[in-house]
Amino acid sequence: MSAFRLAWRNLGRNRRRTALSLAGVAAGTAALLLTAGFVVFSFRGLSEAMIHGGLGHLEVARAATVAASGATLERPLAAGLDDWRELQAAIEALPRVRAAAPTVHVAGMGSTPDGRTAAFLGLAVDPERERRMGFDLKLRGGHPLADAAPATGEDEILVATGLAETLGLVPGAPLTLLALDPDGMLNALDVRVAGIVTTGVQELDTRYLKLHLATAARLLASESVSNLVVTLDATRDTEAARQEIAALVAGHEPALAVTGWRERAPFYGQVRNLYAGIFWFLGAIVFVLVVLSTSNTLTMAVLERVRELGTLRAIGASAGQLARLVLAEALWLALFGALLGGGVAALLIALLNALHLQMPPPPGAVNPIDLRLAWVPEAFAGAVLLMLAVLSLAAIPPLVRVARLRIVEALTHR
Amino acid sequence: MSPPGPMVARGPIREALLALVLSLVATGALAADPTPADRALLAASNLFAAAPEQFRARVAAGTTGGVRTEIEIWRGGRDRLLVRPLAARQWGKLILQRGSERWLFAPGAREPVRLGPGLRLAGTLSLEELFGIDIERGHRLLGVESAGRVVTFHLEADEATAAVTGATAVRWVVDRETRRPLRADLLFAGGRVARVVEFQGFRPGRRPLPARLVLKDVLRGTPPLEVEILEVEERPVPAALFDLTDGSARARLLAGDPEL
Repeated sequence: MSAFRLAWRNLGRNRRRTALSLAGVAAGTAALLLTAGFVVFSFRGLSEAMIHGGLGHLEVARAATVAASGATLERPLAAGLDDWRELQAAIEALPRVRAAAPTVHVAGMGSTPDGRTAAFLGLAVDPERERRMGFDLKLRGGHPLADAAPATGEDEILVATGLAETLGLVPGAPLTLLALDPDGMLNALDVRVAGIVTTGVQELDTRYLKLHLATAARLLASESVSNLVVTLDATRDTEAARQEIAALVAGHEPALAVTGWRERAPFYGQVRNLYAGIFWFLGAIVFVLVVLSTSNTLTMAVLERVRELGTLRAIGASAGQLARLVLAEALWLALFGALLGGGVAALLIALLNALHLQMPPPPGAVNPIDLRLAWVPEAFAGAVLLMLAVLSLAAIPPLVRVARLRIVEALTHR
Repeated sequence: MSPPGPMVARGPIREALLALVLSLVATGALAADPTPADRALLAASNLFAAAPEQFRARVAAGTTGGVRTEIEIWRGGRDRLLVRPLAARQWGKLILQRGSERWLFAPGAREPVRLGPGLRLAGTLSLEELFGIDIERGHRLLGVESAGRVVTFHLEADEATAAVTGATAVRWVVDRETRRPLRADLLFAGGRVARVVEFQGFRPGRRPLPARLVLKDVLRGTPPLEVEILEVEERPVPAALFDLTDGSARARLLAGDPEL
């Protein structure tokens, strides 16, 4: 009879002990899977929030600008793209690309008729393209920007909540924007507030406003754009699409750089590192707990069966055969404990997701976030393998005991 | 036994005193009180006062290898200036200076927009730097230093002037022989140099009008701005150009009315 079949029968002999061991392994597995589910959901949520919050999957900008200012969000218009329409059409013809939208970054002062002034950071966009790209617009009042370019004298903007509060703006209120054009000359433009929005980031809400590309062109006396933001059909295609676009714009004068969203979002990397640190710390604790508890259980199982093991040795079983038996019991426990833990984790994930619990806004953010967990098949497979490794490790002390077993002493053991 | 010598500081004390004197000289703290001759030299080098009371000028400004901007300046008295960018895409924009107040007229804005003192005319260019700082008005002469033919005047700006220029003090460096300024260092309250204006050439003629200037924004570290004064026409300038409420004269200017 094989060691695995014997081990399976042995586990059934002391069901309470086996159940306790399984519970330990299952709890560890479930803890790991729940943590992995939370971390993965957070990563996915954060990355999609960043991509569809305006970052896009890829950015095409002048290489010199990217080299000078890093992969930040700031792109001065003086070093912008003049032939962006041709570039946009060529990029949008690529198979993985959903859309390529031009944006203009503008900084200046806003002043109200009653003399209130405040600095602003503006982003000029093509609203129709933004919608096609699935970009979020968190409108808190008023209406969004019209798709069509506004007529002269009819320019509208969206103002973030903090800036609106500073300047006392409500939908329909007039505002004069003051900014330096790419030549360094001052210009002013009267606009009307179409709506109040939030970026989701408290700090940015105190300065942010959004305007139509045509409005920015009037304010800055320039048809150039700061960059092209590209969104894809699927985030997983980012690297492949980056290479395709890089090949497309190779040889362009001036040289262009294609930057991925991760490089433009250092915050994402920081959060990812933090979560990864937490996950590994928690994993280490679970690892130690499972090793200690199952090792103790397996040792007890060997100690309780010393006479039985001695008898097996006496009728011809080798120390190696007994060691394989103990190891097989450990592996059965690992396998079934991990499967049980996976089942428990799946149930808990479904339950927690169904409850629609909300967590308070993270530091610097405005809105609460949904507590949702992802079922990660890779994490489940990893947890099963980890538990097999952990239980194999935990089986070492009892294996040593079995190897040192003396038949005569074992047969007289009480 | 030899008689005692004169009372002199010896050893470390003497070295410390010497270091103190040298550092005071270096910082200009030992600048001498101005003499009538110094005051005459300062007055002779005052470009602001030397400029015609009323004129129209054409100026080009830009960084080396960068965009060159051409502007037209109308001066209608000591503290009235109207600046018009001449590039086609800048059409309709005007900057009006009336005393310490500055206003921007833009085709996209119904009302003139009042500009704060921190805003520059174009890039790092400001009106004061362009036409010389009025060193005899709004400034108090603290002391004078002289090294060969180079004379440095240490001036302190009064509150109103400092509010406009953003500088609390000015080091005005003049060539004693040509009686023309070489450089102006605009300083912040802590004594840090904020901007430097180098006068690199003067227009021919009786009046000391600059032909070429280089403006350096030391604080921001931006590339130096090279300014060339292409044309200065001494002529009467209509007071209506500087009227804040009635824009008809400015509209005629923008329309290119030759009768203006």
